[in-house]
Amino acid sequence: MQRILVALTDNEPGVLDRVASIFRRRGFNIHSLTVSPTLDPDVSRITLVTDLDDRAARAAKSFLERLVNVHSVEDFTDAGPLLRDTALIRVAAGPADRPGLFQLAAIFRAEILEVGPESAVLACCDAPERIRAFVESLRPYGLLEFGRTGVIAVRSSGDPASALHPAASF
Amino acid sequence: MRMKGADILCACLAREGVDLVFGYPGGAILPTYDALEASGIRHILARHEQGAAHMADGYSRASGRTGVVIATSGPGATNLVTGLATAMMDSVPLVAITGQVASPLLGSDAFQEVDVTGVTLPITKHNFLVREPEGIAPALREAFALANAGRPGPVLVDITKDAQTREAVFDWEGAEPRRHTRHLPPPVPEADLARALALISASRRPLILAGHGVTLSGAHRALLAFAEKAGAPVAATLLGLDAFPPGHPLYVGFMGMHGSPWTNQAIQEADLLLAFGMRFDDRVTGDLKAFAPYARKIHVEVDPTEVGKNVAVDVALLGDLREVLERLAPAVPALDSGAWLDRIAELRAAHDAPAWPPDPQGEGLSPTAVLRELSAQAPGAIWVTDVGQHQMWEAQVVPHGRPRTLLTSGGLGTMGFALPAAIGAKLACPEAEVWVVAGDGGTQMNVQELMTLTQEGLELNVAVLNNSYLGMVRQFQTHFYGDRRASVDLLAPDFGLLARAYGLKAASARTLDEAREAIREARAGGGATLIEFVISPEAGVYPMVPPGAGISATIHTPPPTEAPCSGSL
Repeated sequence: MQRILVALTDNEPGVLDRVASIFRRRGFNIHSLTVSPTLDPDVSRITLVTDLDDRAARAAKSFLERLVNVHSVEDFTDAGPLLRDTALIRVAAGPADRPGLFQLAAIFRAEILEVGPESAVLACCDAPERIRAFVESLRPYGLLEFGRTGVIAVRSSGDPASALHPAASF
Repeated sequence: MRMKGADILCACLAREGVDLVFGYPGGAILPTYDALEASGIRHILARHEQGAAHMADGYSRASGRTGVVIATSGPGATNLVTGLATAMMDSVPLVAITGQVASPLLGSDAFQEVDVTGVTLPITKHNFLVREPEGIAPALREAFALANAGRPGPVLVDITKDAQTREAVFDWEGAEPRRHTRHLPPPVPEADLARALALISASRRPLILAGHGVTLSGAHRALLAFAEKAGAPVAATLLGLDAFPPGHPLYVGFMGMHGSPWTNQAIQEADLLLAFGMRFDDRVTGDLKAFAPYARKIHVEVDPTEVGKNVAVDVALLGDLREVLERLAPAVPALDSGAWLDRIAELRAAHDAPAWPPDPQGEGLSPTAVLRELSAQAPGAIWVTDVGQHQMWEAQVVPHGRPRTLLTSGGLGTMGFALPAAIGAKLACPEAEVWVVAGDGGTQMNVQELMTLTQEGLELNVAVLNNSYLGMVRQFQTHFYGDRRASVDLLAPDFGLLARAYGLKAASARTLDEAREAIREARAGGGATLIEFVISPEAGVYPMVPPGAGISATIHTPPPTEAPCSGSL
């Protein structure tokens, strides 16, 4: 089961290593991991996507909370969070391919960043499954290069207030 | 006030109440050693950084104060690793200070550079890399606070050489620690206490499992009061053996792999386990699927990650054990546990011969008889044991009951722990009688610390139970590897000559009479003595629960075997 854990941590060197080590030591795989400072420059927000069962996820959350650098951890999985991931995709596309490519981009609300004689670069910021669908639809053109940022998550506006650090979670 | 970083470090140690540190100097920590010399803080020069770390550990376990160990960068720092891991596994508050290469050289593979914060990340509660003299006081203060907050543990502070030599303003108040309180559990809610009390009230066969947390939280009196009020019997883990008076009518004994069969059977028949400051280690529980099948479980624990980690519990009370027990005790009912205590007495009667455990089979001096004699002659001693068969014999035979009188590496099982840890314990408690109990294997692992002992003029005695084997490994081979004795036949030096070379008195005993006399002479004083007890080479530790089996699956005696395939030396 896909799990989404969001941690607020000190924004200082080595913290990511400590967080990742919790997963490495126990053999838990991390599918996606994003880190960025929050509006509080001393605090970072880490979003982790894993596939742990309930017991392992509770243990991972608990071990993360034991880290001195961690302020708080929340499991967003059951909260129906809003998820976003950004992909940059370079596809093989000559002039004849462009009309179809542009149509696809419009359907997926992707941005065309660059067009060259033999290829084009597109950016798509959307939910992970929409990105997967977009990539599949591009596959027939020939995928030349593909990069993703990893998932970031926030609770939906209908959810109760987050228990995360109030100064850093907005 | 502007001071050099090294002087700031020493000033911080002094303000933390540190008057004794253990360590080994080297290039990257030299500025600190230079400052230490002028600080008035006593330094014990070990012969190896691992020994220094175990000394700080033993000092902490015996005194309850935070042990401090200092080492240089690179190999000095990596030599601390086993000591830090030992302290981490047994929740011992320790602060390790390491020198690091100058900050411009960081990451350049400079001479004696190692990423020690990276290396020690999984075996410390937290660690710091300090590159500026301004960072020394905040890191040191936080380190001491963290080492002792909640579940104690080791914290490492790695300080670059230039941070030690450059000047900064020493601002003690401005360096007040902040992070150590981050994850301390809030007071236990009344509702949780009420749920626990309801389970206790409904219990007819309660059993308290006392662990190291009793000592760490200073909960001995609270435990005794609670157990007596509830009428609940008490079993102990290895590190909980000094948590409860062994002669008390409610004391059930040592549990786990080499625990008493009646203790383990009581766990299996209990309807309620009260786990106090213990973590359901696999050496205690055996096969989890077969563990305590009829028992509801209440876990009192300061570290939330331990709750539900190995064993699912019905009620978790997260907090300091002493505080929780002091809140629970006034409301706990006197249970109708008479029939249960009778049942435990019945289980015990089936095994509890005049000498329990029975002396091991085999020719020669019995290790349990030696330990009985030792504890009879030195009943108030601090026992510092190494790891192996002797450790388990000691746990089975020697009664402990006063807090901080059994020091042993329970979690990591570190051979070579006992001698240096005993040096730390003797320095913490100079008036106490301290005995090292070690095997011939562990003694050879950190034997160089005998010289430290002599240099410091310490009067503690070392009992080496020599069976010319790595005995516990051999015992496992006997039971689980068809008695194929791979690499356990251990040549040892002449321990008497060795001890004298290190400046100790020495004795050797092959009979119980010789043992008795050697112990008497060692206790008469006039310097430290190493006594080699030449014990039966084939003696095993029984009872024994095979690893991974349920704790009822007790092996009582060695299997019938052919003649040993390799002779003793």
